[in-house]
Amino acid sequence: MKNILKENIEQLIIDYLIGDITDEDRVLLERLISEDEEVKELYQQSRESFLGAKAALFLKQVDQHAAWDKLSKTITPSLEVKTAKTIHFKKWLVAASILLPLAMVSIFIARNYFSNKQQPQLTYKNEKVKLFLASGESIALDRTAKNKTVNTNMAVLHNEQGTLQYELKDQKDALSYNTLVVPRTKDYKIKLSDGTEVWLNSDSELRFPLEFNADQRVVYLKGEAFFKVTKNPKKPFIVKVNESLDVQVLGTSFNVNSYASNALKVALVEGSVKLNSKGEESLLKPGFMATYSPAGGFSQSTFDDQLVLSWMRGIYFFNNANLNEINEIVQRWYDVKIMAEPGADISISGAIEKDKPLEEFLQNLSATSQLKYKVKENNIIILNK
Amino acid sequence: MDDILILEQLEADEAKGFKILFDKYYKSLCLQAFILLDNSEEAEDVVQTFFLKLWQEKQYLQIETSLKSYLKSAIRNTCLNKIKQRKTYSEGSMEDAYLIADENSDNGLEDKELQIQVENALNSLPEQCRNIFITVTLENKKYQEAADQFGVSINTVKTQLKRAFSKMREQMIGFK
Repeated sequence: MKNILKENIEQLIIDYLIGDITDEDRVLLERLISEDEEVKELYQQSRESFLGAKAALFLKQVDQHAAWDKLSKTITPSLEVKTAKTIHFKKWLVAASILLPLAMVSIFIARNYFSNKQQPQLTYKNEKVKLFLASGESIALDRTAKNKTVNTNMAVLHNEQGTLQYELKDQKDALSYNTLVVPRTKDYKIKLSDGTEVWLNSDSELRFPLEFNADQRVVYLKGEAFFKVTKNPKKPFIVKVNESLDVQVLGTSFNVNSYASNALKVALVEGSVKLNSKGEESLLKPGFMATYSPAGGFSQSTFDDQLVLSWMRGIYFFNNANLNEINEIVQRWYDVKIMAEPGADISISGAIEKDKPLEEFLQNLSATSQLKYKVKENNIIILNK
Repeated sequence: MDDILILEQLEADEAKGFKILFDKYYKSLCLQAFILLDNSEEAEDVVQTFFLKLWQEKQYLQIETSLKSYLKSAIRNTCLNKIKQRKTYSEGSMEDAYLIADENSDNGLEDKELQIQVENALNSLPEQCRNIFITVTLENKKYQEAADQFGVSINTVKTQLKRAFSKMREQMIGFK
């Protein structure tokens, strides 16, 4: 075997074993195997280790106990219950002939359930909400931390029940900006110095000063947040989104969603809001939602607060959603990705609740629709069946 | 437990005997089916359905050959039918599958040691490399499918696989 060729031959062998090989290459490799002892040996070693690995991986995932549970529950109580022996055999046979069709049906129903049950468990990351202060300090805000008060160089922070409040310590730091980072799977609420409350959704960031300057209140948002702005006609409150959009308000509550940079969404619940992007303006009335895209400018529509604001209650509703729409939420809330086998038809309707494990949502789906899934590498794969 | 004792147990106490039979053969029959069908879910399905039928029809009461060869040929025939039902299959790959099935059915691929060996080899691989290898071996993914799934190029998939293969070869040769 020529050294120059060795790399290529290895590749051909892998192609061959995986079954992703052209006819031409197959013929070439088969010829090489029959003509060259070294190639033959390499092929045999590769094949054996490939099949060995395959078999071992497969056996590792075979769950004999789960299979027995499934079997014994499905076929007959007599496998489990000792007293079943007292039932006369013929009677049992009669009963079985009646029950068998039922049992077959329940196998199919149970298959979903049990196949989910033997799955590896999803693990959820526990990244903490973090506050990065202008002074360079960073503080992890743990909802469950015992110590609710944190003393930093700039301010005293009170972190209670998922809400952050603070008291300024040194006036010279007042106007510099700090960043609150809410990772995937978490959410958080902060009360700013003017009393304005901001609910931050997962995978979102808010930049804010500990105190606002004299003429306006400016904060920066990435991701999604609901604002309840304290009224102050003399000091407009401005949310800067993605550097392209300013949301200017006086006193009001509204939701800003900037997850998709080509469709920034501002939904107004009460009060009034003025949107401004590079000179283009749009006024929003309560009950309306403005969508801004850099290419198309502003457009307005009514919105369903059940759908738009439900994230604050930790719930999302899906209505015939496709995989992308589902993933947008699932990745943000659970940091888990849902993938599908080629050809699997995905259209999902249902509600997903954040404080419940993702499995519960998926199991509900498998129970109510034909959807089957498996857990793999901490991702969900929807099976094509 | 010896097969003859299992058969005696089945006559004395069917439920108990059936459980012993299941415990002894479930995994190795799954492996046999997997090697033939090259599909993990189908393999388990076949074996579970087989056990279900075995119990319901009391087929084990009429076994004339040895229990083991009865079980193996039953799974083998079921798998053969499954393969025939498939729309596409190549003759060659089936013959290959048979050879492998017969080769490996007795020499203990289920060995814990082999599994540990494979796991060690896998664990020594970088994460992406390992994931790609597992996906390709267990799910029969083509290069393009694996590349799509992991969001990488086909070339990356190929490089990673090559690494995995050479590691596997290294480890398994040591094992033999």
